[in-house]
Amino acid sequence: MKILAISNLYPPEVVGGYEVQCSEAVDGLRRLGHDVRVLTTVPRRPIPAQQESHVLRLLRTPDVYSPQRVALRSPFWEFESNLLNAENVYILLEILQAWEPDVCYLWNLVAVGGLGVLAALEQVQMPWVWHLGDSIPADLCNFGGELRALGAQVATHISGRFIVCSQTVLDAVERVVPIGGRTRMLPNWVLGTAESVERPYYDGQSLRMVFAGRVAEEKGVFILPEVVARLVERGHTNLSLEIFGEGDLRRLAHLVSEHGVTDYVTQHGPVPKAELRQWFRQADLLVFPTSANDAMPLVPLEAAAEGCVPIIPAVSGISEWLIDGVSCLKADATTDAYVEVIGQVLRQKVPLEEISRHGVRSVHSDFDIHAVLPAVERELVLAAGAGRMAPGRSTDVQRLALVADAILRRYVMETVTSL
Amino acid sequence: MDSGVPSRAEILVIVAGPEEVAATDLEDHWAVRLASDPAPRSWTARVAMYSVPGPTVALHQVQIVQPVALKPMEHVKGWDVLTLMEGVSVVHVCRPYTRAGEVAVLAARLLGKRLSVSELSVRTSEVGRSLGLIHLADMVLYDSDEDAAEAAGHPLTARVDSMTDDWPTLVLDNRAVTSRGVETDL
Repeated sequence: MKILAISNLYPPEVVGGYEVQCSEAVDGLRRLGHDVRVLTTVPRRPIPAQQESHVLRLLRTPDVYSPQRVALRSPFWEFESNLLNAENVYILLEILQAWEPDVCYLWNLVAVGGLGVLAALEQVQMPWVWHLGDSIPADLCNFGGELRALGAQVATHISGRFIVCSQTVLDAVERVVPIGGRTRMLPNWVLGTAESVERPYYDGQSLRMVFAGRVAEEKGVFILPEVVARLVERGHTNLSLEIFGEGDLRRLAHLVSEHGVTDYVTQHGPVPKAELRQWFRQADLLVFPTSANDAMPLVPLEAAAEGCVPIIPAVSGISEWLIDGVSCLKADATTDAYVEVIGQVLRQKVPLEEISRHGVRSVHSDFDIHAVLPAVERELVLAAGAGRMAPGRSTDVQRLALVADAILRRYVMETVTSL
Repeated sequence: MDSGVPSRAEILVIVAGPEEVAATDLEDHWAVRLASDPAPRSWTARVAMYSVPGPTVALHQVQIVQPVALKPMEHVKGWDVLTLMEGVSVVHVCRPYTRAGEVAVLAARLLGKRLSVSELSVRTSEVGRSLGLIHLADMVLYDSDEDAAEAAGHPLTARVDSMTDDWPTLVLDNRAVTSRGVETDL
């Protein structure tokens, strides 16, 4: 099967886990014997000479992920980013015409004129499957809530299917674009898991905790210094917390100092994934008080795969997939709740070793890419079998994109000049 | 007269206006006569006036046949024109070289509708014209030499006399159909 994957970013251009999952899916599908090519954006920094001829870094992007560029955004950036980039439609059509894939496999389409890409695929009747690791359709149709009818129209006029990583994501999508009834729920995955691991377990002596992820408000990391301080106040001095990741490190350092827990909390910054796995292998708990809106973060799975028991919120994308007291621990993302549950672990009221072992087995059987990819492949095969690209429409679609682009530019110009 | 097209087929005629037009201005338009003609046909037509003079001016619709609830729209980004097209088999856009005409043609094509256009001599926008907008239509109708020259190069054109009972040709289900039953395979 010839599969054209489309993603705004692709390693080594990485912002989060979404594009990493894309590359892992592409590699996995290639190993299964499929002919997969990737259409992604022109890189913003030098990347090593291409070993991978299947990756086409051709799409244009207004670079919405660069905070330094926000101030330089043109009045057109939002519609070029979300609605339409006529150049990208042209590039896509050229590839579709020349290579004739059986199905398109969509990932994050923010910043490439995602709705235009979608419309072009619909116009040439190219079958597609959209893998949602985040609420991208809603993001593309949002426009600050100004175009509430757009999402409903998009939902009505698209024909593809969706793979969604959690109900949390689906709910967020459906608040804007009602896609229910054509979705398949499949979890995010991790690589290289084992059925069991050799590792130490907490025996009442020293509790080793880690946090890994973006050091940002929505990840809940800023409550952790106070959690540690309150545990120490209660006499639990046999603990340590290692924090990995980049972000607002100064604020975190200030909080660690303010709560007087510099002897217990260590900031490491970002580290390579392999090194992080070694830390997980040594640690007893992953403390991860992320927001309820978090789609399905990979860190709890990566930790659980190494026997490091994640404490995750009772409500969030990842919480839908792991069972409290069986493969993880759950607590509200509050200081009180985290103090309570970690306190129970410290007092050995929780069967931590049992949860650790079960978590390792659970991740291996349900969340390794080998467990998930066959279902992804089935969705792509089903979509490809449902139709073929209509020939001879490329010029029409190109003209349609150019007319739409011209009308939108006129609208934006008139709106800006009338302000 | 039986035109040979499926029963219940519905044709939406959009009269795109370069500025807001009152209902009385439409009385002599061929689309109104078409929609109001009691002669039995196997298809029905409804007519909408669509005007998008500027980003902050409301879309204005004059409903002639088969009332359709159309909410006021703030500007050209409004998507109610898509709702208007739901369920219709064919969209015919009068005056495609106006701002509203360009949007209507774009919307009809995005929805995959059969599309015909006419009245090319009404020109208040060059955006669509410069990009060959009429080539997005399946068929171009003309009733003047000026329009005929404008339509030259389109693979399917037809001359009509909008001042007589020779109703304009419309495109339906891969055929060009007139009220007199003339058909041409597309």
